[in-house]
Amino acid sequence: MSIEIVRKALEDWFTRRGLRLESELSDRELVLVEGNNRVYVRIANEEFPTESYIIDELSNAMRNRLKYNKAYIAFPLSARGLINGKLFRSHWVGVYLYDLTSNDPDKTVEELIPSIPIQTQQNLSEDLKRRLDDLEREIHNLREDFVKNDAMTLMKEVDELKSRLSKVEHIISELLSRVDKLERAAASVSHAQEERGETAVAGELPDFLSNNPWIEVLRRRGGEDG
Amino acid sequence: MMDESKYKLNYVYAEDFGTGYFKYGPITLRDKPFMIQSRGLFLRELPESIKLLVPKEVLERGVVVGDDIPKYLSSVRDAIRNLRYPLKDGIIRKEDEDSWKIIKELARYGFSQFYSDFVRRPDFKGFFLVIALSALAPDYMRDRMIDVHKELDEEFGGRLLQAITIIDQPFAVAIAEKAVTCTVIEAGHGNIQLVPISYGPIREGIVALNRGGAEANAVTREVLKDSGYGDLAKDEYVVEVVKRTAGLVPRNFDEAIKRAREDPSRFAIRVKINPLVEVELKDTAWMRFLIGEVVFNPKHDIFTSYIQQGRLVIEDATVGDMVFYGEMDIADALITSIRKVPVEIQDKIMSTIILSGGAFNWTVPPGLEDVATNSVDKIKIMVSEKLPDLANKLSISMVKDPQFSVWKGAIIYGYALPNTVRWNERTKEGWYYLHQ
Repeated sequence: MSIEIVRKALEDWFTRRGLRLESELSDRELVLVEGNNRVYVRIANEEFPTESYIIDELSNAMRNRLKYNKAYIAFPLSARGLINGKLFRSHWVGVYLYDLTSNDPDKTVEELIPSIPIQTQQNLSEDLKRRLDDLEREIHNLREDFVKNDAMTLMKEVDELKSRLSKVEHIISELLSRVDKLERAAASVSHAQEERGETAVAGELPDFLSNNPWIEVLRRRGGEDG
Repeated sequence: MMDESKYKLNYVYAEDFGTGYFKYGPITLRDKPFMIQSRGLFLRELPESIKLLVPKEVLERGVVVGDDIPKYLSSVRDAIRNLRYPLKDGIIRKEDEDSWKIIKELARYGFSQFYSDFVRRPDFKGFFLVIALSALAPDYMRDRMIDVHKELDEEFGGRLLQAITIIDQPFAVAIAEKAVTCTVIEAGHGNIQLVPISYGPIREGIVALNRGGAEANAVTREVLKDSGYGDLAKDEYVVEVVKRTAGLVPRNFDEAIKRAREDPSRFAIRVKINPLVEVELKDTAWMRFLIGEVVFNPKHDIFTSYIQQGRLVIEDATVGDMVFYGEMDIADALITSIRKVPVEIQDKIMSTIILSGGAFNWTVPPGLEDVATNSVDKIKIMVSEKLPDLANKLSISMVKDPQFSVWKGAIIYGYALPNTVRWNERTKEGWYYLHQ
């Protein structure tokens, strides 16, 4: 079976489904782009495939599997009964079946097993590694300069902050003792008010409760009823 | 006294059962209670697959409220029949068990939002609960409210509530408005209540009118039909929007209609319901005044002919021993109410008149000030036409915080009413203690 005819038929079918051909790795290997996914397709053109042939094709496809989000092998229709679906699914490789005798261009190819998409592994290129090394060196130099030049200044500033902090602590302790005195005074006033039967909670009340004449009116009901 | 005040500053809880919304929460919320729609969804005829997803205790109670409603609404087969609004004009019928179930669920929903926090506090010994109900709520409704809350307290292990009391909604408004002697006119969807207050509601002086926002809606519906929008008139949402946007309260009804008929373009209005639907009142623009007028005075010939044609129903009704007048205008109702209170306090009662409720929510569009007016001025005008001397003494104002004033008033009532005032079966006032 001519590989050119098979490849052309497959390319047409993919184009109709919105996939874009990115490159041809060999006459039997295509790389296509489908949305964000890169799809590897290996074409098997053995007219009468055997099980061992199919497994060979799968192991060949697996060499490239991790570089692409999806991978497929396209077999002729005659391979249908020989495909071990479990094996393909466990390797995340999908299967297309093509039938060049079909009159309907849409039925030339059938997706027998969909490929499970994976995240691709990216190899750090040499160039990238070199640039990272440069950056690391630069950061190292900067840090050394900073320590040499600014350590003294920083030490001075920390000393100044320490002295200011101790002053603030002193002020806070003075304020706390004054608040304490005020609280004691307020408590004695509130106690005196309580003894006179007045409400001393107006300050804590919601706005709509304070200065409300109803509070006294309703409280008097206690006197009438209770 | 001091300990009581201190306790109540944290542990007074109020519930305002309004026809549209249930407002609830403890005093610690300060100015703004929590609020959910006064409605419940019965989980009847649920598909088996959905039943598996519903918590067992919810399924047993069979009704959900608040934020839980949208979760189940699409699963209930007959949502319209199973989504129920329990309060009709603030009242629940005695035998309407479904509505009582919803009331209990609304209350439980509210408490469960606060209980776990409060029960951990060492000094918490149960809430002092104030329930605000319509002034027209019959005695059986007050008793049942207490029973419902007793059951809830038991469900919470007897630690939820210490005592319960009930307050009339207009009384709560007067308290929130800091008015010790006044008349509160509460205009709701289905009725208008005039409640004179002097250090408490004066029950003999209460006058109830059997109309309100719903009648303004009914008139709006007729205006839409007469303007060629018979199909839209069936849609309650459209009716509500047109009423709010196009409805006008006339200073003088006959004069306003005359002017609007002479110069229709000045009163024409387009009401945009949504990007697709627009209502235009042009030749029928004069009818905008019917929408507002019906709330204040439905005695005009035009309304009479509507009633005779069966397009509008305004009639007297009796609930318990209270007569709800259909056609009595607001000025007459106010005068009747004032006359029913002892003469020596009549002056004080009229010195402050507080209007509350959605059916008093009318505005005057710029440029129509000569013919249209707001609710405060409308009542002044109406009273001065009947009794000019009385009109000079009236001081009328709208409530400052229409949405939450009842809840606030209920909180103040709970805070200030001394613990020693015990529940009185006859007057339905005072604290009903649950565990003593």
